[in-house]
Amino acid sequence: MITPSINVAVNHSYLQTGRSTLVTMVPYVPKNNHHSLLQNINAVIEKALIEEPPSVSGAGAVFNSAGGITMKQTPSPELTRFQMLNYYLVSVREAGDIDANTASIAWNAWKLLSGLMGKPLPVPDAAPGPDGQLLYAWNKEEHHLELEFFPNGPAEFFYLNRLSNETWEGEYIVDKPISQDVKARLKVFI
Amino acid sequence: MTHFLQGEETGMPLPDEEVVLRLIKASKDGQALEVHFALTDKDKEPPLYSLSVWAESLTSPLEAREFMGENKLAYEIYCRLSVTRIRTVTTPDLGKPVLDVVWDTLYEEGTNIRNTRPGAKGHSGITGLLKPPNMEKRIYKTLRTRLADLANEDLNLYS
Repeated sequence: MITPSINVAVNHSYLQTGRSTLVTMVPYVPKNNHHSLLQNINAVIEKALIEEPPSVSGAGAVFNSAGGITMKQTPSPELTRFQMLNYYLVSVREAGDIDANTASIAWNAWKLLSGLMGKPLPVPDAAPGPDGQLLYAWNKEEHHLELEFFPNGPAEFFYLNRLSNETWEGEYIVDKPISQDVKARLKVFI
Repeated sequence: MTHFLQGEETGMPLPDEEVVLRLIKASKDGQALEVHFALTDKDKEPPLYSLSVWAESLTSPLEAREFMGENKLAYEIYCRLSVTRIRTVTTPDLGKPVLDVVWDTLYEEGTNIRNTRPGAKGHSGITGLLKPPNMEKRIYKTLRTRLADLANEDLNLYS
């Protein structure tokens, strides 16, 4: 029996060409199960980032002939974005724009939110702010949603409808259930 | 009559027809986000409490980046913002526009001697972004999101 596998190549900085490190394997992920795939990619990337300094190139994920997934081939855009978020968090942490705790909370929040809706939630754009905060942003037509993580204190959701000017705010608290309000806002972006 | 823009005293408004440059560290997806228009501690200093920008007619993008210090290469993107359009940004909660663009004279650090480095004359600031204590956060998040939307209309990558 061929063990399905995932190979991850990570770059020290996603913006630079660096040394390539091939790491780790994960269990089988059924075809046509995008959500499970994303969850497994999460686990593997995390493992890679823990075991190896984040580093390199050509990252991406596809199913291989054995039914597993192989990185470093032509990726689906969303999977690439998934990895890029992780690389990005590492790079802004290493640049000193955010601290390790904020990066960790942000990544864990993404893992939680990405598996919340039953369907894949688009990977958010992200950027650090001037006071060590990190912003996730989703944009779709007139809808704008963001989740801002602060070095101290709970993270905050903010929604703006660009056409109607409707706004909404909510809190994200680690280890607390996600409210129906938040789920309803996220649903717009699926 | 030809008018040569010179860069006026701190606090004086820029001409409506001017375009200002805002240098940003690109988001993950290479966009301007609301957080790029949040005031830094330095921006919150008196007298202007303003977001640092550069008048395009007096400062080139490369000149502006030279002022960003050791970390200047982290600023991979600059956006071009019309002064007229900045002055129209508002939210229904505020009712009327609150943003302005004014000159912000640069001085040699710790002195009252004007900075004469190339491009220094174009230093300006967007005022009106400092949230008063009694105002809701969401109102100023809306303003910054509107500015980011404006910025994304004319984003430029340093080559």
